[in-house]
Amino acid sequence: MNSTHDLSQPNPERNSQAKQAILHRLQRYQPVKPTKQAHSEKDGGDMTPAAKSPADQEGFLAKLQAAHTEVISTTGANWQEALAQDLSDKQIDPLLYAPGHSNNRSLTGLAEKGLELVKFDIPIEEIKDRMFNQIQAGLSHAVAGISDTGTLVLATGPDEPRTLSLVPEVNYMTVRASRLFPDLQTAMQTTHFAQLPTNMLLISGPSKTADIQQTLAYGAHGPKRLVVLFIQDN
Amino acid sequence: MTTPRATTMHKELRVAETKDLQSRIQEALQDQELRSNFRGAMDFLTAKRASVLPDAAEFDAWRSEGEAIRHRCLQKLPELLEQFEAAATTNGVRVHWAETADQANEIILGIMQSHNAKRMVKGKSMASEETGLNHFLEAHGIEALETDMGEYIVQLDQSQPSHIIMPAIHKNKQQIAKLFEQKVGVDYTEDVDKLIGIGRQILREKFAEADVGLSGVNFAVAETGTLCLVENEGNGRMSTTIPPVHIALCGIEKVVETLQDIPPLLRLLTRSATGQEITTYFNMINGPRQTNEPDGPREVHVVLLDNGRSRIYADQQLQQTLRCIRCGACMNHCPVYSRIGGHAYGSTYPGPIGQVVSPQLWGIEKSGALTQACSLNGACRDACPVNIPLPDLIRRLRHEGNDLTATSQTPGKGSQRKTLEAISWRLWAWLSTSPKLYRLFLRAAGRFRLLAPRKLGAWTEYRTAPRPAAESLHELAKKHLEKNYE
Ligand code: SF4
Repeated sequence: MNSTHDLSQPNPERNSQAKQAILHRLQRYQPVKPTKQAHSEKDGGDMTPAAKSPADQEGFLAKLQAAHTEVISTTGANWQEALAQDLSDKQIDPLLYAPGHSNNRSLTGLAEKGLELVKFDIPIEEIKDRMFNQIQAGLSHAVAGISDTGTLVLATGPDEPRTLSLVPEVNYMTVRASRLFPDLQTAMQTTHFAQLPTNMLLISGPSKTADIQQTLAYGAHGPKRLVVLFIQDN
Repeated sequence: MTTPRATTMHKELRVAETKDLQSRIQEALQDQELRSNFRGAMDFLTAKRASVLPDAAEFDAWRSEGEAIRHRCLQKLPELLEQFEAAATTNGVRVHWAETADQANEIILGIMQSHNAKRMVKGKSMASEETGLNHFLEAHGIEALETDMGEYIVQLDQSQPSHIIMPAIHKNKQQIAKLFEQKVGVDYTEDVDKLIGIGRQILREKFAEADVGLSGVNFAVAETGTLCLVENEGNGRMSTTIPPVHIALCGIEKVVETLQDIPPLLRLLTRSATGQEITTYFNMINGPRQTNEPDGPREVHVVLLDNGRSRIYADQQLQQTLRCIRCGACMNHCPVYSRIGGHAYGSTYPGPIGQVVSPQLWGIEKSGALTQACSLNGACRDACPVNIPLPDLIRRLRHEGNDLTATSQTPGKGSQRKTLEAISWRLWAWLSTSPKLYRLFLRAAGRFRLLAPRKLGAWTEYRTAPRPAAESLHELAKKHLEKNYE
């Protein structure tokens, strides 16, 4: 292998050789008909009609809970208080948050309760150890909810770090009732999907596994608890 | 560059050695614990799947749609691959092309070496099982640690996955408890929460210190250059988020055209695989950490793996193999798989889809015998969410194994041919195409019926041998006609 070539970059010569060879072989394709003649892609059952039905709030919350997600119903004015209450009831701190997020500009309600808040505005390398070993909870904000599967849509970015919803044992996540969509297809029409962030996540519960004798266990690698602060705005 | 011996040795491990198939099956059938582990797992998975499927007509509509989407994307594959490469590159993802398993492994090793990386954490990737990546990296002094709980258990046991979705279903919790006691050095416990907790603690340390994370890919979106990963545990997210470098290994057939193709395929995949309406995480990766972002990998690589797929693609019938979304439903519903389990197949991909994929990837000579472990009952076909006609493909590959004149590209065609069998069929064909000879033969068979052999090898092990009738149907009919209508 070429010793001067930077191995972290695709080796231009070898890469284009492999690419051309593969694409060349793919040219030998001869089409075959799908197994059934009559169907078209529009046959997709209830998915398209569902897009017209409104998002079902009750259904959304029921699905969340069925997946072991805890739900706290609250309002735009009170969510911080509700969060503070849960944190102090369960004796959870510190809480990690991204100070740049518009929802996090004034977390005064939390500070007043004497809860320890840790800002996540430095590269993860500088806080990794603490994040894995000491910080108990992360606060994130979903950009949308999907009611037919009980799913939260998280668009990560500078003010919504990926690890907030991944590393700490408890993940608090807000979602607004007004941002509820009936299904994934409809949610995909929103601007977040038109301009995808570096990491887009659909989250439907706390981390779990059934890899040992089909026995469900929560907190396999990610959060053991997912707590949704469901914000009814009015 | 030299190919280390470990690669070759490793491949022999994963590829079915045809002569051993029978004995592996016998062994599996006699292992009562193994059989009850599989029975339990299969009953669980099939019941869960059934509980989330709509009625039959609706499900048929869903999977026709799934089939049509996969079919369309495959038709446009060359174009979509280039589109994907362009979009991903714009997103800051480095795209590598690999013609073979060895090439893919070399590329991954190269990336690791350029970072002086010694520790890799792995999310679930069947493609990396296919290329034998772990052993290859270990031979180069790199630790490649499986982090999916099932894969972690299998790796601790120095074994291989027995199912593509649930890698450790061949073990029950007592066996896993013992394994943890021996290999991890913890006190014996059958408490699943505790066992998972132990795995969690060990693996979190590994995530935090890993240099590179490797993952598979469920869907690669051409339009946006997005890599999609479906999982429940969060180890996929860990592997693709925490280490400074993420490498995704992606079979070239995984590309779909647009984001809109995802919802119909995703609902089929999660329901068919684990009986869930959706998994805990659907992870859409669009690029490395931006300068203003606090976390995420600084480099994202994707290795597009061919390894025989383009050859499969060229065949008008076999190309349907590539529609597969690796849900595992075909194995869960297979009466053979559910009795012998995944290891008996001796291949990375077991069960019906394995019987179709393995001979095509590794050649009929090595893996062709797998196609015999099938009763052509069609249960896999009925379960498949993208309508792959698995029994037809199995039959095709069986035939190809015996056909010296096959014009297809499948390696090792004709290699399963047995002379005695071939002569018998020739003879039969010759008899059957000459009415005179055929009748003569029938008459002789009736006359000397008592001389017909009683033992016919495996056939008569559980059955009585057929004996020709004294008079053939033809003769009876003739007599009947003569008597009644003359
Ligand atoms: S062949 Fe069909 S049923 Fe089997 S794994 Fe692939 S998609 Fe699933």
